[in-house]
Amino acid sequence: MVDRITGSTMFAQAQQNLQASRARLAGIQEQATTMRTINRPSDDPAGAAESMRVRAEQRAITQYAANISDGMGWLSTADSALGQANGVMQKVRDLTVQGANAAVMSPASREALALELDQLQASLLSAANTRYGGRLVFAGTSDAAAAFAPDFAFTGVAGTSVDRRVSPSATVRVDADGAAAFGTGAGSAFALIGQVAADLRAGLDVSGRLTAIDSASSAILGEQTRIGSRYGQLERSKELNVADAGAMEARRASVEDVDLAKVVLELKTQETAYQTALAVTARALQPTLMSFLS
Amino acid sequence: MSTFGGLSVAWTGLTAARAGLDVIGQNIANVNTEGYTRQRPVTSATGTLTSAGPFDTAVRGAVGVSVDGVQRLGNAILDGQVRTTSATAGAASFTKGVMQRLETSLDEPSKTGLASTLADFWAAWQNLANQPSSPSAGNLVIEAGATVAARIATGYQETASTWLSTRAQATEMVGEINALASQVAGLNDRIRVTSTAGGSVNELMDQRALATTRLAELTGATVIERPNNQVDVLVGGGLLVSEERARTLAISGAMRVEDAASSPITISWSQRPGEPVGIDSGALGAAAALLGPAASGGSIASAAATYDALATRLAASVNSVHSTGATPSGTTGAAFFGFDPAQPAALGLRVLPTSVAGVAAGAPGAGGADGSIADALAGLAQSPTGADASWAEFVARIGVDTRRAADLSAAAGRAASSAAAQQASGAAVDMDEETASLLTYQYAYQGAARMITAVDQMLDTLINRTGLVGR
Repeated sequence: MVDRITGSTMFAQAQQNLQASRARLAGIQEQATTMRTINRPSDDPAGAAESMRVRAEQRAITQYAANISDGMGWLSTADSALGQANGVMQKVRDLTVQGANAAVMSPASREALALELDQLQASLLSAANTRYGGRLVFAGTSDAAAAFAPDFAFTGVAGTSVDRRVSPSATVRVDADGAAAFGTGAGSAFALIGQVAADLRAGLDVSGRLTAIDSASSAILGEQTRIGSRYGQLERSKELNVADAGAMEARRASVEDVDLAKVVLELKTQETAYQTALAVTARALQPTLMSFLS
Repeated sequence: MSTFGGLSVAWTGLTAARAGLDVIGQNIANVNTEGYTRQRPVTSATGTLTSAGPFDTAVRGAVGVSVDGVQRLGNAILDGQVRTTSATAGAASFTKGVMQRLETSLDEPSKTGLASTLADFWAAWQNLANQPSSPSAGNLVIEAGATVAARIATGYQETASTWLSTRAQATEMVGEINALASQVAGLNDRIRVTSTAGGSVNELMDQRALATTRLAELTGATVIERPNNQVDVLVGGGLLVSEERARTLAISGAMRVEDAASSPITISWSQRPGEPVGIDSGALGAAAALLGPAASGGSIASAAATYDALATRLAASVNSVHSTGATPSGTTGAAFFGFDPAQPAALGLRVLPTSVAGVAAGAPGAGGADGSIADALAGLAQSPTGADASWAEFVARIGVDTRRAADLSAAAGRAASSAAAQQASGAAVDMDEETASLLTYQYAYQGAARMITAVDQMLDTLINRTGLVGR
């Protein structure tokens, strides 16, 4: 192509080739030092967009993991509160059965039973007002002072729930429905215990209340079952989340990260090529005719 | 031929050899001078004298060598190729530089870029959904929103400063073009005067070729050779240099990226302001295209417009969900993002709430601790028309454009260096060749000197030895 080769064209050509070799070396070196194939969008525009998407998803997955563990906190708190409530109801039932033999009991022992029932009512109410992280687990989205007011009115908002997002498309309800578990107002389990105590003090037969106590217990148990199944749902979500996190990290690595062996090999090859180019250039540019004339 | 004719022939040989050595000396001295074109002495054998008259019976022979001049071994066609390819290479390399700067300002993909900032913002909403009305979660959302706004503003500012520095470079280039044009006109004048006086203009032509090549690199100028070694330089169809007269260019228009559309950058002749000169090649042409309004494909203004659109879109999508929610005090219709009307959208984006009291995390009437609106806001991350999607699309577009600019620049650079190599193959000084020529002329000089000695001895024989027979 070039007919007449001169010292300066050779020098320019050599310089250009060295420059090109060096640019390739710099490119590989950048990949090797950052350990990333995409250091700027133009390295791989589609890969860069994919990498940004994957990173955003990773961030979301981290947040879902936080949501899930928060949800597990809610559910296990609700579960233990319901377990406690269940124990209370068992005791209430025992005391009611004991009080059903009213005819043979002295007013003093009735009063003792009634007092114990008052205690149980208070501890049931306190179980129903259990908090997790400052929030009432039985009052849903309500920010009232208690899930059940002293007059047993339920403060939760009907039709609302506290949900935790576990994936872009799925949420899991993490609060317990206080109204379903304990009933509200005059029809609540608290009111029922109060009535049993009042009946005992009045010397009435309390055996008729047993059915109501059993149905209140089963309401609590029913809610506990639902909580348990949601906890299972969260555990499955957690497993999925961990799997997703792993898959996303693998995806990110495959888009962004370098294949170390390949890069090191390329770096070595390029280094050798550059050194060879330097050596050859130094040798080729040295002699002129002048050197051989005396 | 006279008795002393031989001496005169040898003397012309000595002169020619010396002239040759002088030219070799000039070549060797300028072996590394940029733009120097090698020279050769042009000699011709002097013909026999014409007949002196009908009775002239002298023996006819050669009467020596004459040095006709010093030839500049340039090639106008190769020079033209160098100018054409360097115009393309100048434009491509300028575009590449600006695009790479734009690309760097994106700071993507990284842990600190806008995409990560947005992801943190959406995660902060999700966190608020878990604990609505918590002051710390509320502040986190406000801080994350402010970080997003700041990141968009930084991106916009870097784009605006890229525009400004490109504008400054364009102004500098116009200044350089005007200086080069007057230099070419001045050289035209000196070449005309010197060649009329019989002097050597080779070095002046080298200087002028350097200047016109640089002009081509800047503007895509074309050069027309005129008689008497004069050249005219055409830019955008108009005469920048006509023999010894030069015209000047002027650049006018917007001084900041916001005005790029309303007051476009115009390059015009100084005498006719407002009338654009169609420079569509060279570095200045590339700069003018890059500085253009977004509507006509100006990359920088279009990047700035994208930041504005991104800010507007983010604010609109967040506000449309946020305004359906209720703040802890029950206020509905509150906006989360607002704008400073005095500034472009990207710079004026602000977070309006100052504490959790102004953040609407829950749906109205769904209880004071409802987080459904915050959850819906976090869900905007997945929106195919949301800020994340349009940002990713923008980053990919800049990436593709930068890559194309780099590829074009590499190709144009190869074409330019190949043209330069072609030109250098004819015009560059080669030391081996000069050394060989040096020897040739040295021997020619020695030969001519020996010739003088021979004639001298011959004359000595004739004058001092003739008629001495038998002494």
